[in-house]
Amino acid sequence: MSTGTPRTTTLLRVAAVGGRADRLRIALTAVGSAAATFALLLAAAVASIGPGDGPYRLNLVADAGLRPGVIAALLLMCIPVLTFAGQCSRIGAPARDRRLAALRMAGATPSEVRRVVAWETGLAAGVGAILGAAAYVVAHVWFSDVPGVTAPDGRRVVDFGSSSTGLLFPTDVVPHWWLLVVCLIGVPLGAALGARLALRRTAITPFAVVRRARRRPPTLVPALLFVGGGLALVFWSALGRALPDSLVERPWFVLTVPVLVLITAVGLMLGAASGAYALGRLLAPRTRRPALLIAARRMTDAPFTASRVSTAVVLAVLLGCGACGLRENFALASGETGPYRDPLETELFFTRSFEVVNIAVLIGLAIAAAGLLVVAAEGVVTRRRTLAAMTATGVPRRTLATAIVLETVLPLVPTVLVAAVTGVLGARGVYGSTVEVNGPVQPNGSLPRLTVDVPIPWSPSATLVGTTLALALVMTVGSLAFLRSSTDIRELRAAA
Amino acid sequence: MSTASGEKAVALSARSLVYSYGAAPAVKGVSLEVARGEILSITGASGSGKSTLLLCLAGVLAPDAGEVRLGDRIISAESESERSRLRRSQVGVVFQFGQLVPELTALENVALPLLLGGARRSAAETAARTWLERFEVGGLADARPPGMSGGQSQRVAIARAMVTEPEVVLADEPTGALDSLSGELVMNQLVRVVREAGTTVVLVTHDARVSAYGDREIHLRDGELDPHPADLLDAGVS
Ligand SMILES: Nc1ncnc2c1ncn2[C@@H]1O[C@H](COP(=O)(O)OP(=O)(O)OP(=O)(O)O)[C@@H](O)[C@H]1O
Ligand SMILES: [Mg+2]
Repeated sequence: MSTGTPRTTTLLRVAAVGGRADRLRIALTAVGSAAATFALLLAAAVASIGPGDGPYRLNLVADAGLRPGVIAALLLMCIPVLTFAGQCSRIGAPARDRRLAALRMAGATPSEVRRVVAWETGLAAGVGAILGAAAYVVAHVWFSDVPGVTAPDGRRVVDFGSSSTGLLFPTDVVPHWWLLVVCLIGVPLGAALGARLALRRTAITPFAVVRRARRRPPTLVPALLFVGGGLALVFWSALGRALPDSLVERPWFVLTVPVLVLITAVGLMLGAASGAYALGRLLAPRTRRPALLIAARRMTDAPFTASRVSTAVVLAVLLGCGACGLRENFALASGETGPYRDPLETELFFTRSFEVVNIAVLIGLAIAAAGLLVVAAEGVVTRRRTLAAMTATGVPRRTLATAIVLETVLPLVPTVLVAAVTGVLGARGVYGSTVEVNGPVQPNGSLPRLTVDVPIPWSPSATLVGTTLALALVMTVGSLAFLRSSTDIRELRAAA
Repeated sequence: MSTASGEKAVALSARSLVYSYGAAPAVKGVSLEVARGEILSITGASGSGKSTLLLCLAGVLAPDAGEVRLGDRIISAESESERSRLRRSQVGVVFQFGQLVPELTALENVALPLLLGGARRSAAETAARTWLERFEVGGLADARPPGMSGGQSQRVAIARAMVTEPEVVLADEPTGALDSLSGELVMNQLVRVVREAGTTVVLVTHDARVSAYGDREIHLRDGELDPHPADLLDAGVS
């Protein structure tokens, strides 16, 4: 029937005809989901390692006790990646919104239009998932060669004694098929759902896409999540020390930890919105500096922009500082550091393992910074009409630039500080603030057990916080590159 | 400086202005003079170069040739930042729509030029309130632009352009986005207030009813001044 609903393919084409910005958005969504799929597959492989597999070169993989932590870390790594993809989903969105509004004007129903957006994201993420899986297969084949010792008769012998041999990746295991299916389908499905959810608060009218924002960000829920998650984490670890090992090593028991970390982090991230809102409310009526006034009003007006920016940053800082705390704890307990350092402890197992964690945190931070650049640049480009009008009426570009930097960095400072403190305190809460170590050998030959305080990792945490804020500043200033073209007087000619 | 009659001082003048976007010139050698306190209407068909001319007069665009004088300053020869500062104090600009900051309240929008000039918050807001009241939108002080009607936000925008008590206000289709009734209201208030303040106004419009508010009217055709009054009818139609 000619009066039937428009075909989804038709709608999809309209959603993505916009050119460079649309292609960039779709490509970045695909890249993000490829990376997340890769991480998921790796996590699945680590989870599938059995008693007969290996050996592995990385302690983190080789040590069965550390594997759940690795799995958790890989799962958590997906969050900044997917957040980044979510941030990218706003690239070119104003132009797409105009096309969607035009579709509505031409008779498409709201749900049809919403479906278009969900399909676009889901398809892009699906392509990304396939690419990520392909990359994983390539890595699997590439690294499956065991670097061992060649015996005199030409046979390759694996040297189990040395930590420098063995597989780099668990390429000798193939996860269960249903795990593979979950990994491959999970990301695109999640992306499509996320895109659909993000549109929940928007009304796609025939005139424009209207965000039903301007509501006060919640304060109670984030506070409950944050405090509740943190306390649950401490409780869970106390439980872990009390319960028998056989129970504690069950996957579900261990996997509860990242879930609780996540709940705490979500509380913090949502709290970032109300923090930005409160800060804006505090500053806006009091300042006489135009840049600060504009920034503060933007913060109360769009507090979720602040939390969009801080999501991945919070996670990186929280986990990074948590890892710093853990390292102090483990390294001290194993005699790798501290006043009673074990001179025979030369392998520095934990110190080395945590270097890998540091790399993961740095990767997370880099992704977070890239997301920040995307959000900040998108903010400038989306508001170019207003910015151009303000410049034309005499507001100096410097004032606008300062306002943009302030509105991004100002809400980030308290959030990052709270994340850092939470990370360090969380680690102490979960693993205690004192450990027992072997004291110096006594004249009678006995080894006394001593209780020592775990030092607070001031300098690594401060470095992480400083690096994060500096990176955020650099990225925001980078987004100002778009300011000159966005304040071009020509922008005033285009109809709003 | 004085006009030919020698009576009224010239507030703003242009001599042989030329401006092109790329190859084709949009303004081709326009000269004009606006006396102090005068309201000059510039009319012309769409694409005739009205907005371009106004942007040159406002110092937003630097002309390729010719000069713009404000009082005894040759602003067309000044640097971009000098010209920007000019718009903060001596020249008020009003566009068709969209020049208010959506996140700021009406009061803050009007106070913004004063804050940019370094004024104290309370002083800036007091002045801003007075100007809002002059345009009968004092009740909207705490409202935000997205929640205002077109006529209301234009009145706020004009208050913002006038809060620094500039010598010249340049308005590009200030009623272009309004229906005729609210357009009339805005024009009536604008004329009343500028007469009280003795402000010089250049008013760009393609609407004959709006241009009738001016003391004098000039007509642009293809970037040039058109001396034939018959064309005014065309402009109203197109
Ligand atoms: N940014 C630009 N780039 C290229 N050409 C431009 C640009 N702005 C204006 N023009 C051209 O310059 C000429 C004059 O444009 P201008 O905007 O000054 O006309 P106008 O009289 O204000 O028209 P309208 O009544 O439609 O607003 C037109 O031919 C237009 O196409
Ligand atoms: Mg125009």
